[in-house]
Amino acid sequence: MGGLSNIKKILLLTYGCNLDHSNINYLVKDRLSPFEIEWGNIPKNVDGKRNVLFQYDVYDANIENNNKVSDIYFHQYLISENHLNAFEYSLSKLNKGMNTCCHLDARGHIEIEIDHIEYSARTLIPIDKKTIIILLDEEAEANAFIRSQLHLLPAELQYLIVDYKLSYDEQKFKMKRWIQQILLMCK
Amino acid sequence: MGKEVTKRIGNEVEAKVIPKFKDAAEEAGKKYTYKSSKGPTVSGGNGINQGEHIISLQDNAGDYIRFHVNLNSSRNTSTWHWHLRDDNFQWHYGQIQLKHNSLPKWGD
Repeated sequence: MGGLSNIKKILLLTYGCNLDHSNINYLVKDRLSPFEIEWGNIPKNVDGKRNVLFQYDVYDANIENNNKVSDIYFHQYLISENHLNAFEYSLSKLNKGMNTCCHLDARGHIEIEIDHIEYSARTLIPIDKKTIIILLDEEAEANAFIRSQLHLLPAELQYLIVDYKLSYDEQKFKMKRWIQQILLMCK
Repeated sequence: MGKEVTKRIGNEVEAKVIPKFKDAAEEAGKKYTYKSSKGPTVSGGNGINQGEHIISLQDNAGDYIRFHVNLNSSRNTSTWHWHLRDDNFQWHYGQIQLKHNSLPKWGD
């Protein structure tokens, strides 16, 4: 029987630009939906192989496409590691975007100011804790314009990956330089 | 939250969310010295932040605990959580999910 003690908590993030949302939504419905659980409520009487508390999250640099998948994050599933690997493999066959397993509860925030204007981003931490993925969000008011232009920018500016070992101030410094580059490109 | 939102989910928030938020605030208060708070008011729109931020508690160095809520695009599922300065606000704590009818804007 499954128990809380051996549960792994994983969030799989797919990120990129103009992702294959039709197939992503199909895979979520077909492969994950049957294994959805009530949020935060891990059933006691389940197959012990279903030991991964799983969430899926999708980030598309094209905000119009992102709106199609923004609800995916609000579901939790209980699956086996083989199931997770198979799901990840299916996503990889779509050949669009990157797929990274992250810590389930590591969905943080980082804010910086440029010329007294606040910009914000959310952060995710891959399982290996070697990097932090920083994605422009829609929290700060000033984000609205640059977020809407993100898909028009070079791929290397659509997200930021920094070393996990950086201090918070160093992360902010890197983010500030990143946003400054985006602002320059958006002019 | 606003009168209309309170009418719709106020009781559930009071029962399921507020006790956990209070406990978290008290626990954080053992480590940090509360000085002030920063609520959801903003200059634009209806005057209330439509993002995740609800309220943060601050000491002399700024926020030490931030209470947030995520709302899905259909506005019928909300996930309430908090972040701590201890880990640079990178981890979610709490993660209480409520399902409800579609909500109007925060503050309405």
